[in-house]
This record gives sequence, structure tokens and C-alpha cells, in this order.
Amino acid sequence: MDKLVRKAKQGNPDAFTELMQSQMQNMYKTARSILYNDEDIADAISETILTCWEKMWQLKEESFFRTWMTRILINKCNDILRKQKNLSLVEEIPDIPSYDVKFANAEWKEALDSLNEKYRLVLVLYYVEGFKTGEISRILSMPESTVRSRLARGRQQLAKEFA
Amino acid sequence: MDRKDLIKALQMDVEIPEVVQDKAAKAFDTIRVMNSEGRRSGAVESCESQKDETEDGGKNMRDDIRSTKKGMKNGKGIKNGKRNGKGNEKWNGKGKRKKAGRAGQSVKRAAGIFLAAAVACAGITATAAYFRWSRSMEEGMQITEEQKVQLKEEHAVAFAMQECTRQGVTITAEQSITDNYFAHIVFRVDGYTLADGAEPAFESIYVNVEGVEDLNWTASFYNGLIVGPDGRAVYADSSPIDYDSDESIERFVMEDGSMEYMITLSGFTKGCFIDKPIHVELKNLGTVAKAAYLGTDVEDTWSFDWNLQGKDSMEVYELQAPLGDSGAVVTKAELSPVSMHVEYDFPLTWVTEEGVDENGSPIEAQMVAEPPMLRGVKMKDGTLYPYLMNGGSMGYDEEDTDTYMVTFATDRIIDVDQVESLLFARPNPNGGSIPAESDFYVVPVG
Repeated sequence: MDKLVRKAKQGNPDAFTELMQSQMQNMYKTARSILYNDEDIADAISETILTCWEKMWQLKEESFFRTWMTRILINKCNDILRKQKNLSLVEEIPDIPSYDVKFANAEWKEALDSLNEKYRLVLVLYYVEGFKTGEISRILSMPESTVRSRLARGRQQLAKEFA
Repeated sequence: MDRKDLIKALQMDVEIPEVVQDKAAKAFDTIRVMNSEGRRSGAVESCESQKDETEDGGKNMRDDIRSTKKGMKNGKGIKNGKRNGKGNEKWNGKGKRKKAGRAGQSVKRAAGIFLAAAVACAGITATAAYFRWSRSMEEGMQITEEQKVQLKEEHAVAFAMQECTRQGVTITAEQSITDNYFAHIVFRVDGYTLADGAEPAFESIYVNVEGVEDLNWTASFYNGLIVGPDGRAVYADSSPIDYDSDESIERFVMEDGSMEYMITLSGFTKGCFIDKPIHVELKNLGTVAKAAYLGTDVEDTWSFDWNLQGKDSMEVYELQAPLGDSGAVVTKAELSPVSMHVEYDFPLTWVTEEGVDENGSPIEAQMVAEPPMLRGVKMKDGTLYPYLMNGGSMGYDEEDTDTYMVTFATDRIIDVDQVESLLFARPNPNGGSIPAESDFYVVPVG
């Protein structure tokens, strides 16, 4: 992947497309742990793609690509959440989140939704995306000790619920 | 479902909804359009017609990509996606050199060719020779007081002090640092009020050096961010970045209300900038969001003419340094305070790389093998600068497919006589947040 990242940094759109396509599963799962609506997730991912292309030159070390991209994605998701919060106070009544009813994803969504919202993102980044606690702390801009304690509490909660 | 089953369920592949795939595909299409517009060059007539196509096509794609039902702002289409001169070169399979580094940024930021006779801006004055270092040079290139003195004594830095005022906005061509391969030029912008959270941009810029338009360049407003020791962006004043803040993390406006705009020129001919006359036109000052130019706040053109004073000498090292078992041998290095040029004995070789297409089907592609990439330097006092690359070019000359060349501008000023070694990236680095010497092939030069 480092080679793809390097080529993408050099302005190669095909390499960049291949790189981002390879991360689609990761992006969708991470975004889905924050947002519920597939339209919103689509917006967050497409914005992330465009921002990554624009800011690729800022990435100095290829091996940091996934951490960097995930951070951008999470910020985009939070931007959408914030805008929804603002809109609901002003003009629009936000749409009720529509869940994807496709059977193929049902088991996965059930698993995801069973996680406590507070720990969901950290658990997904750790168990699903495979990030280390140090990487998660950089992505979420929180101390590594906080990441570890949220992981521990998330696991405790799972242990209790699935005992 | 027990805990292990739950984790397994979370880890399984899921079907990406169509709406997500569609919007992602549109984003990729937008990028391809922008990139292909940026690589084309030619007469102004074709530039204008392509500009229109880009604007319409880009705008429609952008509208579709962005969701409107939540009240999110629509970005206008990209008005210009090209640059004068060669633009982004791509690998043509014949060993041609290609642009590296910030090519993507420059394509999106500004473009447009103005081949009409340059109209001198009314009110250009050569102000008194007051040598004020710009913030983007001082902070952005992390220059020390000793380096300032040295650069001035060596005539590597020039203070142009060309000023142009249009509609109350004064732009001053402040200073430039020029060597055999690059020229960094800084403009100061006064009298323009930037809206909170906005990102400033010129709609287009035009540059020629001694009448030659066939140039490559990157340009942007200085945002107060520099590269930290772990390769990530940090503020130049060392304050922490709050990524969760609602406000933009970029700081374009200085305490006195001014902004700075830096253009970096790169040429393929050695010495093509030094002591040559340069003409620059900056057109229509406004704002940009992501890759889309949002609109013009001050519609006008600021023009400048001066000589690019610079230094043509570089430290040249003849080497025979094999890089592990990569097959590459570093044969030559040229260092200046603002750029590095390295040559490898690395005959052109094709390799097959496996990947997947947009449908997930496996594909194979023939790619040109690359040697371990130059990343930075180690100084005599042991300090590592592993993130020096700031845009440049890499590849083979058309005539010689045995010698691979890399030339890049550095993102900070380097004391060349204090450089002990060059750092070339090893595959599979240790993965620490801050690279260690063991992550590199170290080639002594000093």
C-alpha cells in the first residue's frame, strides 16, 4: 500500500482511486459507527475522498496513511452531526435516520448497534480496523490512557451483556 | 451471540450501499477531470474553452456529490483546473520524468493562461530597500537568524519589494530565494478582509521567466502550519492543533491583518531562474473550499516584474553508495539550502503489481520500479530531518534510462555544510511515530 500512497502523493489519480477503493470497507464501517443514515455516510466518504486528494501532499510518511485518512473521515462525520444539531434548532426537522434494510448487512448492523454508543467508535477502530491504541489516540486526539480505558469499559460491557 | 461471535460479526465484510458507491464514484470522476484539465497546456483560446467545460462539468459533479437536503453549502464548480506551462506530467512509459510532491494541490488551486500582453499595474512602485523577512519564509521554512545572514551574503535571497495596489488591496512581491532548480517567491497581501473560516485563493495566476511560460509551479496562501517531527502538521508557534474545533485550523491572517502567498517554481533546466527577469500576474482574489473556487471578492489583476536574484552554486558530491539490496546505487548528490538533487544508477525496470479494480476484481498493472526514495538528511550534530521533500520531480531523462533522478525543494532551509548524510527510505520502516535512523539507508556525504 505504501507504493500506492506514494504514487497518489505524486498526483496519480488512478493510484489514488485504487488506494481509496481498497479502504472503502474501512471507511464505511467507521462512518457507520458514527452516522446512521447511508446518505450522510455517503457525503462523509465522498468529502473524505476529495479532501485526501487535496491534502495528500501533507502526508509525509506513507505508513501513516490509514491513520490520517481515518482522522479526516471522523472529522467529516462529526461535521455532519454538528450541522444536523444546528439545523434542528433553526429551520428543518431532520429526517428520521433511515436504516439500510438489506439483509446482507443485517447481522453486521445488529452487532454494531449492540455496542454502547460511547465506546462504539473506539471498539470499531480497535477490533475492526485493527488500529493500535497509540494510533487511535492520534486519530481521536485523546490521550492513549483514555483510549485504553474506553476499550476496557467497552469490553466489560460486552462481557456483561453476553455473559 | 457471545463476545467472540460479536467481534467476528463486526469484522466481516459488508455490502457497501449503492448511494455510498455512487457518491464515491462521482468524487473519483471529479478528481480525474480536475487532474486531466491540469495536465493540458496550450493557447489561450483552448484554455478558455476548457475552462468552461471544466466549470460546468465540475459544478454538476460537485452538486451531485454534496448532499443538499441537510442544508450543506454547495461548492461552485472548479473554474480552472490548469496551469500554464507543462502542468502535471504523467509517466508515459518511456522514462519521462514526472512531477512529484504537491502536484495535486497546484492543479486545483489556480490555473489559467494569460497570453495577452501583460498590462503593467498602475501604481507599481519599488519601495525603499527595507528588508523584512516574510512569515512564510521565516516560520514556514524554519529559517534561523544565522541562515538569514548567510543567505543574504551569498545573494541567494532577494528582496523584490514590488508593490501593486488595486481596489484598495495592496500586494507586494516581498522576497525570493532562488537556486539552480527552484525559486520560492513570497507575496504579501494587505487590505483584504478574509471571512472567518474561509480559505483565500487567487482564481488564476500567470508566470513567465525570461518570456518562458513552460514552467511548473505550486502556489498557496501560508496557513501557519509546518511539519512536525513525526511528519504531521503542527503550528509554527508550537501551539496544539484542535482538530475537533468548529473553526478552521488554518491560520491565514496575521496579527497585522495581512496574508502571504507563496509560489514555488521548478524548472527542468539547471540554472533556468537565476538572475532572470520574471513576470507574475495574480488574478481575482477570492476564496476556495476544498477543490472548488467559491467566488471572487476583488476582481482585478496585480502584475509584477523584477529579476530573480539567486545563487547558482551547490555542494556536489560524487558517490558510489549502494542502497542495501534494492539494486540502486546513489552516484551523485547536489545540495543547496532550498533543494536537493540526487542521481542513482538504477536501470529502468518494469514490475507487475496486483490490485483490484472498482468492482473488486483482481487486476495486474505494469509499473516502473522505483529506487528507495530520498527523504531527508542527517546533520553533523545528529539531528534527523526525515520529512524534507516539498514537491519536485523524479524519473529518467528521455536520453538515459539507466540514471534515475530526483529533484525536490526542501520544506525548510538547510545548512548544507552541516549535512553529514542523506536518508533514503527503507521498505517496511519500524512504524514509530518519529522515524529513527534505522528506518533509512544512510549515505554519508560530509
